[in-house]
Amino acid sequence: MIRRGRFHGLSALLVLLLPAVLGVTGASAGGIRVAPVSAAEAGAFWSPSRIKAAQPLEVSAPGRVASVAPRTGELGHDFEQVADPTAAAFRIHGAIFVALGIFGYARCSGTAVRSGNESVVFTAGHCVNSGGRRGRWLKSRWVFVPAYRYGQRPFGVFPAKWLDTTKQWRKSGSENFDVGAVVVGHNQRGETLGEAVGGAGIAWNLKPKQTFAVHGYPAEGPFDGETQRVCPAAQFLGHDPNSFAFPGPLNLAVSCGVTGGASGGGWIIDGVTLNGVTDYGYFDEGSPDYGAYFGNEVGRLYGRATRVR
Amino acid sequence: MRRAAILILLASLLGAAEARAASGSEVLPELLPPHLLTEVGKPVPPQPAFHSGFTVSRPHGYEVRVFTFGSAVILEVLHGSRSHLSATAYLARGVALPHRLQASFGRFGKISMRFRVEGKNVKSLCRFGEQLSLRHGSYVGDLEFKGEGGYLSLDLHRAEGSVVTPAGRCRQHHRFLQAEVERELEALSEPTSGLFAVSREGVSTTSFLGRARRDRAFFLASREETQGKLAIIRFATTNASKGPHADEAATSARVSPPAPFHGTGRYRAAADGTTTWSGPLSVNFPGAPRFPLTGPSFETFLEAPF
Repeated sequence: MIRRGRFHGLSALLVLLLPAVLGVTGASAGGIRVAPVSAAEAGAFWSPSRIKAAQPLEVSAPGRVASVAPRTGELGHDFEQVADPTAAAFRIHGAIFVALGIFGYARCSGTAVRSGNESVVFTAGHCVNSGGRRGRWLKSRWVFVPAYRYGQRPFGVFPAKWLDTTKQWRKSGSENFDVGAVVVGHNQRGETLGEAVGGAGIAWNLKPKQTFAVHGYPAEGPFDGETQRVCPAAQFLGHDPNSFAFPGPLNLAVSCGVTGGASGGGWIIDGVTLNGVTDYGYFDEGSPDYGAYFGNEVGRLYGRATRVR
Repeated sequence: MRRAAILILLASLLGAAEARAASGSEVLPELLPPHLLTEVGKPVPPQPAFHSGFTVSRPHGYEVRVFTFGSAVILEVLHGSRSHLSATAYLARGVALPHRLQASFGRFGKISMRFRVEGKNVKSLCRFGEQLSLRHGSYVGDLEFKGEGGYLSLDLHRAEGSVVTPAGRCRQHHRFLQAEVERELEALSEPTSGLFAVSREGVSTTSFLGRARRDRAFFLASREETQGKLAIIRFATTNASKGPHADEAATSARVSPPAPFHGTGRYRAAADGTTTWSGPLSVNFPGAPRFPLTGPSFETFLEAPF
């Protein structure tokens, strides 16, 4: 009921807090094709200095702010460094780099997924599109570097040739759908992503209560983004209370202390199947890692990505 | 990507609300922006409601509001006045359609009500550049709710309410919002002292904020948690003349906010960088009286003017 001259409690606060987040029309039905760039050219562009300058991607949507000072203390004790990222279970995960024009360079994490075209990478939606009605495609110099470690690119660089996200992320920026998929070109050796590193399976519409191996390349303190890290057995903790008002399936919280740069990192179940990606966390040290539930929309996204040639 | 707790934003917004209350103006938007359309998962209904719900005044001394927001049906219990407010909101997923509210609040109860238009009077409003149609009527059905420990018990079958639906565009300028933003930005340059403490257990978060500027102080406490398919968000705010009292070196501080808060919280920073946040500070939320706001699990930040 609407009344004048009264303090409107949560309803008014929600009004102020979440503008431009839900239900906006005008999104296109599919992803976009990226102007072709050779792996050699992409690899040359991403020099060590540019990689070092790449900052974790943040979302500027209402209700979210950039991270605060680097965290210390207990954070990260469960996000273990992967000794050999070229091992079979780890080489499918990698770092993502993208140029933002005058805003510099950004980074995320991603996971290679098995598909007919052998070229699909899954990541967070905000790693390919800033989300919402005014969202921008992050298509400039977008590359996936599997098994990246201290500047080494053991399987080369895979430049993007097609970007896509869930329809809901593009049209509303709803964090419950913050998932993206990218089809990449060949590396410097002319290999497809699948030929070079293989890929994880992918599953959707599973029960949220799973044990996940959370992978990623966190770049904010206490991490430096130079090595792959993994929480080998992150437990499902529940749903973020703040995701209830957003449309779609409730997002998931898992016990893993990640920081910026880990966005898009794959959540693996049963050792071989992708069933989530890192989307966000809160700034305090005890924050879990949050990711969108893999439901039908993710299935549709995967279907679109596999059809790209 | 990392983001701040929602309550930090709530704090700043409530701070703005408090400032507006002090200035005597009424600028809080009273309606949800038109793009915050109600929907029930998928697919999006072809004619989504803009806002619907009703208010039940003063059962057990509380005000209860039931309304839709996004995909949630929210039952919000408020206590106190705008300057000393505490509230608990129960957010449930369910059917949040323009003329139908249906959701389970878990062990607390459930709602299944339909909206019936009464009369043909349709009021036209212009908010955020959107033309809106406001229809008054009654919600008819069942609302059963029993809060924690029975602090509130509702068994309702009829309530007067309203449904607001979008009806095109209209001309309206948002100068008041611009003025508010400018006022807040200006205020940011003023010396302030503040203390923020946050504790998290899994997806549950408790936070406390005390902020003082000039001779006015503002306090906020919040608790967010989920219980299965139900989210519970509690918050309390109050204004006072005295804010966090910190020493010049920002190594210790003490806060004693008025009701709905109780007791005192003490912050101390040791030379080795460790901090403690202790004391009997608590807050009365509807359904969670004397909720503790201090303890070793809190991460605490102190800001002192210099």
